[in-house]
Amino acid sequence: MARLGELERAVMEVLWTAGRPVTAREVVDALPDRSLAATTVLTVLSRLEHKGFVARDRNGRAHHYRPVAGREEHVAALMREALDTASDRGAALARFAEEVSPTEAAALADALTEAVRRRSDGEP
Amino acid sequence: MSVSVAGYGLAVLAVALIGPVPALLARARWTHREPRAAVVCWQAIGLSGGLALLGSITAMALAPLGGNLLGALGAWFGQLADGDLTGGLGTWHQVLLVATFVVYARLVGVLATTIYRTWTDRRRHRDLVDLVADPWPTGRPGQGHVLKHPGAAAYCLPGWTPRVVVTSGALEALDDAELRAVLAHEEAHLRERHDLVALPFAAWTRALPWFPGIRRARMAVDSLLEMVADDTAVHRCERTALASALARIATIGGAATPDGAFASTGGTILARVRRLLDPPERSGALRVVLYGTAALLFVLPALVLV
Repeated sequence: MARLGELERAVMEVLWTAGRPVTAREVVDALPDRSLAATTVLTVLSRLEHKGFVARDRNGRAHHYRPVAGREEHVAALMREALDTASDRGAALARFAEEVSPTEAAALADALTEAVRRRSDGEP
Repeated sequence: MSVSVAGYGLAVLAVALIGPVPALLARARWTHREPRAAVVCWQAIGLSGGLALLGSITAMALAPLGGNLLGALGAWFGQLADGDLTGGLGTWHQVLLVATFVVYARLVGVLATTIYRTWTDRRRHRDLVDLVADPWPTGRPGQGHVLKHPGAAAYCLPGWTPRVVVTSGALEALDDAELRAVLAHEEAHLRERHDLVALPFAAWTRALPWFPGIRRARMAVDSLLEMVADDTAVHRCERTALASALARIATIGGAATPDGAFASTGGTILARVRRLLDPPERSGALRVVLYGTAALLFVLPALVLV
């Protein structure tokens, strides 16, 4: 499983770097591990397509693969979900801290100063 | 207890447990002294309130059949089996019975879709994290997944294969002791499966969005679960480090995410930081009261069946 996960990351890396739709053959050639079978890469590509991270376009007889979104877009989407306390979507995650209002922020800053002072005093 | 008396009794219980009781308990700061017992009490309120709601409309619908609730149900099934599709009820009570089925179906349906959606959302989020996260930096304590982002956030994805996710912004803002404290807090959520405790409250909020009491219950349980995780974490980290980590992450927050959705949860974080800095004295008496009330609430709806 861990190996498959690593492969998925490597394949996505290739697609992100390519900057244009590429064929499975091109992905195989671009992967750092040149010993990989083309069928393995095809399996990984179809898994990624199934998960909705990769799109496949048919271009004549060849299939071209491209990432649905860039890495930064994915990270931004994850952050939106992680910080979104208003909707039900947030129920899937357990957050360490939520956003605060300006008045709360001032009180929090005081509390932070207090916590830092007590820590430097050696309080556990 | 006769079925009509049971109907009114359960209706009173349902109204109390959906209205004033959650309103009062959600405001009560003393629950912060014993968050774990308070969560159990909330669970009892939720379960008992739900059973009382369903039980009361069922009992009112079946009131003409007499006997206690179980007897009336038996009589109704008997009439159905004899081919009387009205079940021996008049039009008004038949309408009431249909309404009962609608409420049952809605509660069960919303619970099922909430479980399903939580599960699929979480799996998708986890797949994405596995795809785009950076490895944990060597030299920092603990382990987890790092998202390259200037905002400060730390969260966990519960499940069979849990993940702890920390942003690079948070990693930069926290020193090692604070990082250990954050991880201890998240691991407490994961190990004690707080997501499963929170889930039914999220489901009831969606199923019955018209009752403010249910929404308050959900928010109160969410904050109490954070305090439970804080309490578990401080066994394995410095209390003051957890306090400063919490304040730091909340202060930085997602400030750097322009399109992040922000929401204030009414001073929960501040309350948690102050609670960590000046821990309230624990109270055995309060624990007994809360667990006792919970036990009473668990058996109360069952009493009217006899």
